[in-house]
Amino acid sequence: MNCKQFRESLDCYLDGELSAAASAAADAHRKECPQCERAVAHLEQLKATLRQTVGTATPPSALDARIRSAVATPWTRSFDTIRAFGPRRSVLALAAVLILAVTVGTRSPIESSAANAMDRLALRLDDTSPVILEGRILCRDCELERRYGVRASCKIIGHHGAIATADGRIWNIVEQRTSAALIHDERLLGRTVVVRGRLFRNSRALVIESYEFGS
Amino acid sequence: MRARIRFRTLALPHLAAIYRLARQLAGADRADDLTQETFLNAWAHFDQFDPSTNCRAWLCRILRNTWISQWRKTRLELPVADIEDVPAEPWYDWERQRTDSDLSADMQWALDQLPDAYRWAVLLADVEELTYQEIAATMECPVGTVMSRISRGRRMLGRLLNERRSAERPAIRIVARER
Repeated sequence: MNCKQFRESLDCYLDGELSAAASAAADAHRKECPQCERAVAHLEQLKATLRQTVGTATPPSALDARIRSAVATPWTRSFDTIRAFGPRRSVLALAAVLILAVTVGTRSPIESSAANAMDRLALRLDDTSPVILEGRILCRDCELERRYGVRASCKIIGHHGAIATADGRIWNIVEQRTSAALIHDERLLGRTVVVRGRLFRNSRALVIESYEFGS
Repeated sequence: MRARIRFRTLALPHLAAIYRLARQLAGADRADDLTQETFLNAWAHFDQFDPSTNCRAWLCRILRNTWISQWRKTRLELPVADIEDVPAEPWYDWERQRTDSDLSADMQWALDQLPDAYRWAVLLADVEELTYQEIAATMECPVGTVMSRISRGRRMLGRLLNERRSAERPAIRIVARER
Protein backbone atom coordinates (compact mmCIF):
# COMPACT_ATOMS: atom_id res chain seq x y z
CA MET A 1 0.00 0.00 0.00
CA ASN A 2 1.35 3.45 -0.89
CA CYS A 3 0.53 6.83 0.72
CA LYS A 4 -2.20 7.69 -1.80
CA GLN A 5 -3.99 4.39 -1.26
CA PHE A 6 -3.59 4.72 2.49
CA ARG A 7 -5.08 8.23 2.57
CA GLU A 8 -7.97 7.15 0.38
CA SER A 9 -8.87 4.33 2.73
CA LEU A 10 -8.00 6.15 5.96
CA ASP A 11 -11.62 6.71 7.07
CA CYS A 12 -12.65 3.11 6.41
CA TYR A 13 -9.47 1.93 8.13
CA LEU A 14 -10.12 3.83 11.36
CA ASP A 15 -13.83 2.93 11.30
CA GLY A 16 -12.99 -0.78 11.09
CA GLU A 17 -14.64 -1.12 7.69
CA LEU A 18 -11.64 -2.51 5.77
CA SER A 19 -11.20 -6.21 5.10
CA ALA A 20 -8.67 -8.04 7.29
CA ALA A 21 -6.10 -8.13 4.46
CA ALA A 22 -6.47 -4.43 3.59
CA SER A 23 -6.33 -3.51 7.25
CA ALA A 24 -3.10 -5.46 7.71
CA ALA A 25 -1.60 -3.70 4.68
CA ALA A 26 -2.60 -0.34 6.15
CA ASP A 27 -1.05 -1.30 9.51
CA ALA A 28 2.21 -2.15 7.75
CA HIS A 29 2.27 1.12 5.74
CA ARG A 30 1.55 3.21 8.78
CA LYS A 31 4.53 1.77 10.65
CA GLU A 32 6.97 2.82 7.98
CA CYS A 33 5.46 6.21 7.00
CA PRO A 34 5.59 9.01 9.61
CA GLN A 35 3.35 11.34 7.56
CA CYS A 36 0.57 8.79 7.30
CA GLU A 37 0.97 7.95 10.98
CA ARG A 38 0.49 11.66 11.67
CA ALA A 39 -2.64 11.70 9.50
CA VAL A 40 -4.02 8.82 11.59
CA ALA A 41 -3.29 10.71 14.81
CA HIS A 42 -5.06 13.82 13.48
CA LEU A 43 -8.12 11.93 12.39
CA GLU A 44 -8.28 10.13 15.73
CA GLN A 45 -8.05 13.47 17.48
CA LEU A 46 -10.87 14.86 15.35
CA LYS A 47 -13.05 11.87 16.17
CA ALA A 48 -12.24 12.13 19.88
CA THR A 49 -13.02 15.85 19.93
CA LEU A 50 -16.30 15.23 18.18
CA ARG A 51 -17.28 12.55 20.71
CA GLN A 52 -16.31 14.84 23.55
CA THR A 53 -18.27 17.77 22.11
CA VAL A 54 -21.47 15.91 21.32
CA GLY A 55 -21.35 12.89 23.60
CA THR A 56 -21.37 14.70 26.94
CA ALA A 57 -24.96 15.96 26.70
CA THR A 58 -27.17 13.97 29.06
CA PRO A 59 -30.96 13.93 28.98
CA PRO A 60 -32.76 15.58 31.90
CA SER A 61 -34.15 13.03 34.36
CA ALA A 62 -37.65 14.43 33.86
CA LEU A 63 -37.49 13.39 30.19
CA ASP A 64 -36.67 9.81 31.09
CA ALA A 65 -39.58 9.77 33.56
CA ARG A 66 -41.93 11.30 30.99
CA ILE A 67 -41.09 8.70 28.34
CA ARG A 68 -41.38 5.83 30.83
CA SER A 69 -44.77 7.05 31.94
CA ALA A 70 -45.95 7.52 28.34
CA VAL A 71 -44.88 3.99 27.47
CA ALA A 72 -46.51 2.65 30.64
CA THR A 73 -49.93 3.96 29.64
CA PRO A 74 -51.79 1.82 27.15
CA TRP A 75 -53.22 4.66 25.08
CA THR A 76 -50.08 5.17 23.04
CA ARG A 77 -50.69 1.90 21.20
CA SER A 78 -53.47 1.10 18.79
CA PHE A 79 -56.27 -1.28 19.69
CA ASP A 80 -54.80 -4.53 18.45
CA THR A 81 -51.88 -4.25 20.80
CA ILE A 82 -53.79 -3.22 23.91
CA ARG A 83 -54.53 -6.15 26.13
CA ALA A 84 -54.80 -4.53 29.52
CA PHE A 85 -58.37 -3.42 28.94
CA GLY A 86 -59.96 -6.77 28.24
CA PRO A 87 -59.94 -9.71 25.88
CA ARG A 88 -58.33 -9.09 22.52
CA ARG A 89 -61.34 -10.29 20.56
CA SER A 90 -63.72 -7.70 22.02
CA VAL A 91 -61.19 -4.96 21.36
CA LEU A 92 -60.82 -5.96 17.74
CA ALA A 93 -64.58 -6.12 17.36
CA LEU A 94 -64.93 -2.60 18.71
CA ALA A 95 -62.20 -1.38 16.37
CA ALA A 96 -64.02 -3.01 13.47
CA VAL A 97 -67.26 -1.27 14.44
CA LEU A 98 -65.48 2.06 14.62
CA ILE A 99 -63.83 1.61 11.23
CA LEU A 100 -67.17 0.56 9.75
CA ALA A 101 -68.75 3.65 11.19
CA VAL A 102 -66.28 5.81 9.29
CA THR A 103 -66.43 3.99 6.00
CA VAL A 104 -70.17 3.36 5.62
CA GLY A 105 -72.06 6.25 4.07
CA THR A 106 -70.85 9.68 3.17
CA ARG A 107 -71.46 10.97 6.67
CA SER A 108 -70.77 8.67 9.55
CA PRO A 109 -73.00 8.69 12.65
CA ILE A 110 -70.17 10.29 14.55
CA GLU A 111 -69.72 12.98 11.96
CA SER A 112 -73.37 13.84 11.70
CA SER A 113 -73.63 14.27 15.44
CA ALA A 114 -70.58 16.52 15.71
CA ALA A 115 -71.61 19.78 17.30
CA ASN A 116 -70.35 22.39 14.91
CA ALA A 117 -68.81 22.98 11.51
CA MET A 118 -65.27 23.10 12.82
CA ASP A 119 -65.63 19.72 14.50
CA ARG A 120 -67.08 18.23 11.33
CA LEU A 121 -64.21 19.65 9.30
CA ALA A 122 -61.69 18.17 11.73
CA LEU A 123 -63.28 14.76 11.36
CA ARG A 124 -63.23 14.90 7.58
CA LEU A 125 -59.69 16.19 7.13
CA ASP A 126 -57.83 14.25 9.74
CA ASP A 127 -56.42 10.79 10.02
CA THR A 128 -57.81 8.79 12.84
CA SER A 129 -56.91 5.98 15.18
CA PRO A 130 -59.06 4.16 17.73
CA VAL A 131 -57.68 4.33 21.25
CA ILE A 132 -58.32 3.79 24.88
CA LEU A 133 -56.81 6.79 26.57
CA GLU A 134 -56.22 7.84 30.15
CA GLY A 135 -55.94 11.46 31.12
CA ARG A 136 -56.97 14.22 33.45
CA ILE A 137 -59.81 16.59 32.75
CA LEU A 138 -58.75 20.19 32.87
CA CYS A 139 -59.98 23.49 31.53
CA ARG A 140 -58.30 24.00 28.17
CA ASP A 141 -58.49 27.79 28.29
CA CYS A 142 -57.18 28.05 31.86
CA GLU A 143 -54.33 25.72 30.92
CA LEU A 144 -53.46 27.86 27.89
CA GLU A 145 -53.49 30.88 30.17
CA ARG A 146 -51.23 29.11 32.67
CA ARG A 147 -48.80 27.84 30.06
CA TYR A 148 -48.70 30.61 27.51
CA GLY A 149 -50.39 33.63 29.06
CA VAL A 150 -53.40 33.50 26.75
CA ARG A 151 -56.26 35.43 28.38
CA ALA A 152 -59.01 33.01 29.25
CA SER A 153 -62.63 34.14 29.49
CA CYS A 154 -63.73 31.33 31.77
CA LYS A 155 -65.11 33.68 34.41
CA ILE A 156 -67.60 34.96 31.87
CA ILE A 157 -68.41 31.98 29.66
CA GLY A 158 -67.42 29.07 31.92
CA HIS A 159 -64.67 26.51 31.73
CA HIS A 160 -64.04 24.32 28.69
CA GLY A 161 -63.06 20.77 29.60
CA ALA A 162 -60.31 18.97 27.67
CA ILE A 163 -58.18 15.94 28.40
CA ALA A 164 -54.50 16.18 29.29
CA THR A 165 -52.49 13.01 28.75
CA ALA A 166 -49.32 11.95 30.56
CA ASP A 167 -47.07 13.35 27.83
CA GLY A 168 -48.36 16.87 28.46
CA ARG A 169 -50.60 17.10 25.40
CA ILE A 170 -54.08 18.52 25.64
CA TRP A 171 -56.78 16.86 23.54
CA ASN A 172 -59.85 18.81 22.54
CA ILE A 173 -63.03 16.88 23.09
CA VAL A 174 -65.38 16.89 20.10
CA GLU A 175 -68.73 17.94 21.52
CA GLN A 176 -71.35 15.23 21.30
CA ARG A 177 -74.10 13.93 23.54
CA THR A 178 -71.71 11.36 25.01
CA SER A 179 -69.02 13.87 25.80
CA ALA A 180 -70.84 17.13 26.66
CA ALA A 181 -70.52 16.57 30.42
CA LEU A 182 -66.73 16.27 30.16
CA ILE A 183 -66.58 19.64 28.44
CA HIS A 184 -69.10 21.59 30.47
CA ASP A 185 -69.47 20.02 33.90
CA GLU A 186 -67.01 22.01 36.00
CA ARG A 187 -67.26 19.55 38.88
CA LEU A 188 -65.35 17.03 36.79
CA LEU A 189 -62.24 19.23 36.42
CA GLY A 190 -59.22 17.48 37.88
CA ARG A 191 -60.76 14.00 37.67
CA THR A 192 -58.87 11.18 35.99
CA VAL A 193 -60.81 9.58 33.18
CA VAL A 194 -60.32 6.59 30.91
CA VAL A 195 -62.01 7.16 27.56
CA ARG A 196 -62.66 4.90 24.63
CA GLY A 197 -62.85 6.60 21.25
CA ARG A 198 -60.85 7.94 18.32
CA LEU A 199 -57.97 10.36 18.13
CA PHE A 200 -57.61 12.89 15.34
CA ARG A 201 -53.95 13.67 15.79
CA ASN A 202 -53.52 16.59 13.44
CA SER A 203 -56.33 18.55 15.02
CA ARG A 204 -55.59 17.20 18.51
CA ALA A 205 -59.25 16.23 18.76
CA LEU A 206 -60.83 13.31 20.54
CA VAL A 207 -64.17 11.70 19.73
CA ILE A 208 -65.40 9.92 22.82
CA GLU A 209 -67.47 6.76 22.56
CA SER A 210 -67.63 6.04 26.26
CA TYR A 211 -65.68 6.84 29.38
CA GLU A 212 -65.28 5.92 32.99
CA PHE A 213 -63.62 7.72 35.84
CA GLY A 214 -60.35 6.44 37.22
CA SER A 215 -59.09 6.72 40.78
CA MET B 1 -47.15 -6.23 28.87
CA ARG B 2 -44.25 -8.26 27.51
CA ALA B 3 -43.74 -5.76 24.68
CA ARG B 4 -43.55 -2.96 27.22
CA ILE B 5 -40.83 -4.76 29.19
CA ARG B 6 -38.91 -5.51 25.98
CA PHE B 7 -39.20 -1.89 24.91
CA ARG B 8 -37.83 -0.74 28.26
CA THR B 9 -34.97 -3.23 28.07
CA LEU B 10 -34.03 -2.74 24.41
CA ALA B 11 -34.95 0.83 23.52
CA LEU B 12 -34.85 2.99 26.64
CA PRO B 13 -31.11 2.40 27.33
CA HIS B 14 -30.49 4.40 24.14
CA LEU B 15 -32.25 7.48 25.47
CA ALA B 16 -28.97 9.36 26.02
CA ALA B 17 -27.81 8.61 22.47
CA ILE B 18 -31.07 9.74 20.90
CA TYR B 19 -31.16 12.83 23.09
CA ARG B 20 -27.67 13.98 22.10
CA LEU B 21 -28.48 13.49 18.42
CA ALA B 22 -31.76 15.35 18.91
CA ARG B 23 -29.81 18.24 20.42
CA GLN B 24 -27.66 18.37 17.31
CA LEU B 25 -30.70 18.34 15.05
CA ALA B 26 -33.16 20.52 16.91
CA GLY B 27 -31.04 22.48 19.41
CA ALA B 28 -31.09 22.29 23.20
CA ASP B 29 -34.52 23.98 23.48
CA ARG B 30 -36.40 21.44 21.41
CA ALA B 31 -34.32 18.31 22.01
CA ASP B 32 -36.60 17.07 24.82
CA ASP B 33 -39.71 17.19 22.66
CA LEU B 34 -38.03 15.62 19.63
CA THR B 35 -36.63 12.81 21.79
CA GLN B 36 -40.01 12.15 23.36
CA GLU B 37 -41.75 12.15 19.98
CA THR B 38 -39.12 9.71 18.67
CA PHE B 39 -39.65 7.27 21.53
CA LEU B 40 -43.43 7.48 21.23
CA ASN B 41 -43.14 6.73 17.52
CA ALA B 42 -40.77 3.86 18.29
CA TRP B 43 -43.20 2.48 20.85
CA ALA B 44 -46.09 2.74 18.41
CA HIS B 45 -44.12 0.73 15.82
CA PHE B 46 -42.20 -1.52 18.17
CA ASP B 47 -43.77 -4.62 16.64
CA GLN B 48 -41.81 -3.78 13.45
CA PHE B 49 -38.44 -3.85 15.22
CA ASP B 50 -36.27 -6.83 14.28
CA PRO B 51 -34.49 -7.90 17.50
CA SER B 52 -31.58 -9.34 15.51
CA THR B 53 -30.62 -5.80 14.43
CA ASN B 54 -29.12 -2.87 16.34
CA CYS B 55 -31.85 -1.11 18.30
CA ARG B 56 -29.86 2.11 18.47
CA ALA B 57 -29.64 2.23 14.67
CA TRP B 58 -33.40 1.58 14.47
CA LEU B 59 -34.09 4.44 16.90
CA CYS B 60 -31.73 6.73 14.96
CA ARG B 61 -33.75 6.04 11.84
CA ILE B 62 -37.00 6.88 13.62
CA LEU B 63 -35.41 10.03 15.00
CA ARG B 64 -34.35 11.07 11.53
CA ASN B 65 -37.77 10.35 10.04
CA THR B 66 -39.52 12.19 12.87
CA TRP B 67 -37.19 15.11 12.35
CA ILE B 68 -37.69 15.22 8.59
CA SER B 69 -41.45 14.74 8.57
CA GLN B 70 -42.47 16.97 11.44
CA TRP B 71 -39.71 19.09 12.80
CA ARG B 72 -37.19 20.20 10.25
CA LYS B 73 -37.35 23.78 9.19
CA THR B 74 -36.01 24.64 5.80
CA ARG B 75 -32.36 25.46 6.08
CA LEU B 76 -30.54 27.38 3.42
CA GLU B 77 -27.91 24.95 2.27
CA LEU B 78 -25.58 24.52 -0.63
CA PRO B 79 -26.82 21.89 -3.03
CA VAL B 80 -24.96 18.64 -2.43
CA ALA B 81 -23.64 18.64 -6.00
CA ASP B 82 -21.73 21.87 -5.36
CA ILE B 83 -20.20 20.50 -2.21
CA GLU B 84 -19.02 17.35 -3.94
CA ASP B 85 -16.74 19.52 -6.09
CA VAL B 86 -14.87 20.97 -3.13
CA PRO B 87 -11.43 19.38 -3.08
CA ALA B 88 -10.95 17.21 -0.01
CA GLU B 89 -8.39 18.31 2.53
CA PRO B 90 -5.58 15.78 2.82
CA TRP B 91 -5.64 15.76 6.62
CA TYR B 92 -6.46 17.71 9.70
CA ASP B 93 -4.09 19.91 11.57
CA TRP B 94 -4.54 22.03 14.61
CA GLU B 95 -2.46 23.06 17.54
CA ARG B 96 -2.41 20.71 20.44
CA GLN B 97 -2.20 23.36 23.14
CA ARG B 98 -5.81 24.38 22.50
CA THR B 99 -7.89 23.68 25.64
CA ASP B 100 -10.63 21.07 25.52
CA SER B 101 -13.47 23.54 26.11
CA ASP B 102 -12.21 25.84 23.35
CA LEU B 103 -11.92 22.88 21.02
CA SER B 104 -15.45 21.77 21.87
CA ALA B 105 -16.83 25.22 21.15
CA ASP B 106 -14.99 25.31 17.82
CA MET B 107 -16.16 21.81 16.97
CA GLN B 108 -19.78 22.66 17.71
CA TRP B 109 -19.50 25.72 15.51
CA ALA B 110 -17.97 23.65 12.70
CA LEU B 111 -20.64 20.96 13.06
CA ASP B 112 -23.36 23.59 12.75
CA GLN B 113 -21.88 24.67 9.41
CA LEU B 114 -22.05 21.18 7.88
CA PRO B 115 -24.95 20.32 5.57
CA ASP B 116 -27.42 17.93 7.23
CA ALA B 117 -26.46 14.84 5.22
CA TYR B 118 -22.76 15.14 6.11
CA ARG B 119 -23.34 16.11 9.73
CA TRP B 120 -25.69 13.20 10.24
CA ALA B 121 -23.28 10.67 8.66
CA VAL B 122 -20.33 11.89 10.74
CA LEU B 123 -22.33 11.92 13.98
CA LEU B 124 -23.64 8.41 13.42
CA ALA B 125 -20.14 7.12 12.68
CA ASP B 126 -18.07 8.96 15.27
CA VAL B 127 -20.45 9.52 18.16
CA GLU B 128 -22.90 6.64 17.87
CA GLU B 129 -20.31 4.31 16.35
CA LEU B 130 -22.73 2.66 13.94
CA THR B 131 -21.33 0.56 11.10
CA TYR B 132 -21.50 1.94 7.55
CA GLN B 133 -24.19 -0.61 6.79
CA GLU B 134 -26.32 0.60 9.72
CA ILE B 135 -25.78 4.22 8.73
CA ALA B 136 -26.87 3.40 5.18
CA ALA B 137 -30.07 1.83 6.54
CA THR B 138 -30.66 4.83 8.82
CA MET B 139 -30.11 7.36 6.06
CA GLU B 140 -31.78 5.23 3.40
CA CYS B 141 -28.88 5.54 0.95
CA PRO B 142 -26.18 3.22 -0.48
CA VAL B 143 -23.09 2.34 1.59
CA GLY B 144 -20.87 4.07 -0.98
CA THR B 145 -22.70 7.34 -0.37
CA VAL B 146 -22.24 6.90 3.38
CA MET B 147 -18.48 6.40 2.89
CA SER B 148 -18.15 9.52 0.83
CA ARG B 149 -20.29 11.61 3.20
CA ILE B 150 -18.29 10.51 6.24
CA SER B 151 -14.98 11.14 4.54
CA ARG B 152 -15.98 14.51 3.11
CA GLY B 153 -17.82 15.50 6.28
CA ARG B 154 -14.71 14.92 8.40
CA ARG B 155 -12.52 16.81 5.98
CA MET B 156 -14.95 19.72 5.97
CA LEU B 157 -14.85 19.72 9.77
CA GLY B 158 -11.05 19.67 9.73
CA ARG B 159 -10.94 22.51 7.24
CA LEU B 160 -13.52 24.60 9.12
CA LEU B 161 -11.62 24.13 12.37
CA ASN B 162 -8.36 25.12 10.74
CA GLU B 163 -9.93 28.19 9.16
CA ARG B 164 -11.45 29.26 12.45
CA ARG B 165 -8.18 28.75 14.28
CA SER B 166 -6.13 30.70 11.79
CA ALA B 167 -8.70 33.51 11.78
CA GLU B 168 -8.42 33.78 15.57
CA ARG B 169 -4.66 33.57 15.72
CA PRO B 170 -3.27 37.05 16.38
CA ALA B 171 -0.98 38.49 13.77
CA ILE B 172 2.69 38.67 14.74
CA ARG B 173 3.53 42.10 16.00
CA ILE B 174 7.13 43.20 15.90
CA VAL B 175 7.85 45.16 19.07
CA ALA B 176 11.43 46.10 18.49
CA ARG B 177 13.95 45.35 15.85
CA GLU B 178 17.41 44.14 16.70
CA ARG B 179 20.07 46.49 15.59
